[in-house]
Amino acid sequence: MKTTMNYVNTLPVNTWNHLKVNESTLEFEVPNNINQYQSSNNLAAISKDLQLEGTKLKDVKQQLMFALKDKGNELVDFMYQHSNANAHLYVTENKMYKEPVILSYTLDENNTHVFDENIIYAEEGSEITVLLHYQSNKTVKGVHGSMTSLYAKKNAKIHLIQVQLLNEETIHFDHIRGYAHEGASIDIVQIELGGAKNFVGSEVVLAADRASYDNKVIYLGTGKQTIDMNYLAKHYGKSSKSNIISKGCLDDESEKIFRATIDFKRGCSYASGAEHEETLLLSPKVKNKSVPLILCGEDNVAGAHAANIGKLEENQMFYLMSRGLSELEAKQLLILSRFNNIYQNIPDEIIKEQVEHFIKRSLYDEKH
Amino acid sequence: MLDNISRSDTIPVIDVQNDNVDIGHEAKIGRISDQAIFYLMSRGLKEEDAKALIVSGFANPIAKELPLEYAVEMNHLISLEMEGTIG
Repeated sequence: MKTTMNYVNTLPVNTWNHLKVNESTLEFEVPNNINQYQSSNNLAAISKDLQLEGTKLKDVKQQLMFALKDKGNELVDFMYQHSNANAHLYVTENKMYKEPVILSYTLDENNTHVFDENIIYAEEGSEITVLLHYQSNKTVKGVHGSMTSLYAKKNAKIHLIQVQLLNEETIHFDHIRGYAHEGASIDIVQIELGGAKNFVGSEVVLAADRASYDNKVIYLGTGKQTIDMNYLAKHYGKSSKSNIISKGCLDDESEKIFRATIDFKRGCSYASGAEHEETLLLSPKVKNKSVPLILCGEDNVAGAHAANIGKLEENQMFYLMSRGLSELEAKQLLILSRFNNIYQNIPDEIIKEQVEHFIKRSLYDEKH
Repeated sequence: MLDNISRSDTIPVIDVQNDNVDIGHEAKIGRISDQAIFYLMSRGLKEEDAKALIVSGFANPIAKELPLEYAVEMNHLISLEMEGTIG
């Protein structure tokens, strides 16, 4: 069964149609029967006191729908209907979880389509870190979709890290929706390295005073990969803060669109928002589009965005090669150093090493 | 942003199809610094004049590229626009 979503990663305010950045179309095949994704490790990772189920789960879903107002969104509706893996976490008031909850999903011959729908609901004053890890076997041509809803009540902190290391045949889409109350913070780290066609993004509402949202993403495009990104921070609360940082590399014939919007709504005095993008272009056939938006309906705010696009510095390459490194080793070192301060946030050493290995292998494979 | 009823939507698009480039882009949105206004008012300027001076200074790098008569006219227009619009 073919599924088509025509309005994915839409810009909140349209620009010229001929630039083809206003929205994207996502198409993939879905089998009539999708296996439920079973993972004893994932079940074990969520302790009994963290599980959100029953009537409480139903209440939370309604709260999210009311808060985020995205009923009718094609992707949200699809995920609620077709998800075959769920992680619903509820963190009680003032409870701090120091150890991260790590959930891994692997696409293989038995699980070619994995759609994980996750909820993290943090009560007042609580804190939790969740790491979502996606990978696939080399030969599987699958589809992976993820939707994660984050709801942080007053002074709560949610840290979400997503690591995507899928193969080059898999279609991947990932939507994060967040809602932060007074003093709450939502921190997201996304590492998007694999996949054939990737549609990723997040939409976070900073609903009350001093809420904050921080999103760091790294991506790597090789071969004919396409990476389509859309990040939106909506400021309603006074003194709310948002920070969106994106660092990536494009090689071979890869393509990428990066959309980031800071939306200052009327009344969000003293709010501040910043977007920062750095892109390295390693091949003459890459296509890069950047659309950093600032929408401002309030005068007493500070908004800033910056984009930096270019090649690897020849001086730096020369310096490293003159010290005995090959061109490939120098390139790998410079690219890893750019990404380092973002993927260092991964709270698992094995997954961190997998990320480094994946980057090196991706840069190595295209030349050999 | 000089008042609380205006709106600004900045929608830049950067489309790059060549690797041998070096592109930088930046945008900042905010209001006039309270400290800058205080400094000028403490030197005897009225609030309106202080804001008009700061806005003229903001436009100065562009204004100085214009022929003199146009730059003078532009500064005069800024002053006229700023009159009565503050607050």
